[in-house]
Amino acid sequence: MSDQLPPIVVDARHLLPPEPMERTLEALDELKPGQAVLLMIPRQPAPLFDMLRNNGYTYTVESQPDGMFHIHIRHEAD
Amino acid sequence: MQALSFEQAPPPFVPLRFFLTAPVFLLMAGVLLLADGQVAMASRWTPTALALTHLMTAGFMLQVMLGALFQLMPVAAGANLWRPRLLAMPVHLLSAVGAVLLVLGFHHQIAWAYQGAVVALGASVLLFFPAAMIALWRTPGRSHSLVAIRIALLALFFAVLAGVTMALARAGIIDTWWLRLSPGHVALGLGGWGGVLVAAAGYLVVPMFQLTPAYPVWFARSFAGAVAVAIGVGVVVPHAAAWLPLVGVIALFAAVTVDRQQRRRRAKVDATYHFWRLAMGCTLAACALAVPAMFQWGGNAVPIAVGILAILGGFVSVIAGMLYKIVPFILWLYLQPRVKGVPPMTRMLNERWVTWHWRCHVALVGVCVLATVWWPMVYPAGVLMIACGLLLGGQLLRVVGHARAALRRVQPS
Repeated sequence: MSDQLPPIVVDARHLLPPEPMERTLEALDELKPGQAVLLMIPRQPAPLFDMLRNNGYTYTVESQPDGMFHIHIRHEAD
Repeated sequence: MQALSFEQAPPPFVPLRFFLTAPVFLLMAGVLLLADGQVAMASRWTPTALALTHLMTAGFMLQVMLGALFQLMPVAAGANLWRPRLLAMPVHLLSAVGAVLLVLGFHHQIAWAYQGAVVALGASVLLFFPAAMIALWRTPGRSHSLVAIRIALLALFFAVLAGVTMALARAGIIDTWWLRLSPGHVALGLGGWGGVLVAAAGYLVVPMFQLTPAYPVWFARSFAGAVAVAIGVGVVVPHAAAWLPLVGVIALFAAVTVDRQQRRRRAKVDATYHFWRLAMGCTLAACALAVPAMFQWGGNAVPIAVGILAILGGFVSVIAGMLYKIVPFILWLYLQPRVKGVPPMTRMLNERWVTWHWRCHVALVGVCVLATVWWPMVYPAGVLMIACGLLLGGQLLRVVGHARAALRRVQPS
């Protein structure tokens, strides 16, 4: 189920705070059951992590060789 | 890049009370330049020059830097101050009143004003310093910013201790021999406290808000310690050249920051980028001019120009650039979980007025440096200083106004 829908990609590699968070929150509003948001960002977005934990989302962080971070976000229920 | 934690951040009005007070000191400096600026350009030791310097350092800079620490310590270093709301009120009031009294003491040579400044500024540091040090020693964090903040706070303590001692000497309470602490006081205040704290904040905000690569690990690991050692060398070795290592280390910070900015990933630049760029250029120029100044080559104008470039061109520029990012950001973060449809951060400021502030500030630094060789330039400098204070204060109030309006929409009174 979790791999059926492609993730909603938020490319925030060239965006200034808080635009990455604004766009991620918009993407989360459109999230369908089983789907994930993939956020590509040059830092670990601590304020977003706080907000995700408090609103029933889980996330994993993958650091990339180019210094970027890929953050995979899902509903806790998925 | 080190992790931040905004869950422990104090409510925004804790740092904001300091940030919103700071522009008032720019207005006071503008009025003083118009009223008595000619005297300030005669020598750095004139009452007016000392008053102007301390309006910038003990007034504008100290307000913003104390406010920034209330925010930065829990967010960047995991160091939670005990009862930040309760602590902020007396620290803010005592530091602001103490700075005004100190300036009054310098300008009018009033003994009771010096004594009042000693009590107020001393009390604010005696309240803040132990609370901050306890928080910093308790945190399990080991970031470069944490080490830098510890060193900056120690430098603040000793800078104020030296300053208080000299104020008592000026008030006639202790021997004037103590005025020899001045070079150490300047090095601790500008290099150890100001420079290291800017670096501690810069390690976080430059990559974050200007999309640059992180500061090199070797640099972030060693900069604050190198500044501390260089200040120690300058204080202990009785020769003007002993201050050269400190000047070199500060210049290295400016050069590394310029290098980071050159490697930014985003072509589009904003006012914060311009303010930081100007600050680093002025810091490099101040370091270059500090060499003839420390050997007393070139007359009285050179040390005054160094002070203008370092304080107004360096610190005030960096602080203005950071305030334009940090104030909207902390209010935006505060509103986000509380208000539906938070206004975009970019709309909380009026970019056109911010750009006008940037232009006025560049002109201000330019005419102040010119005034060191042609004093009538103090008049346009005074007008520009007042304009900068009004523009900065006006924009910060505008951001606060947007946030209050958004909160009122969900909490109708």
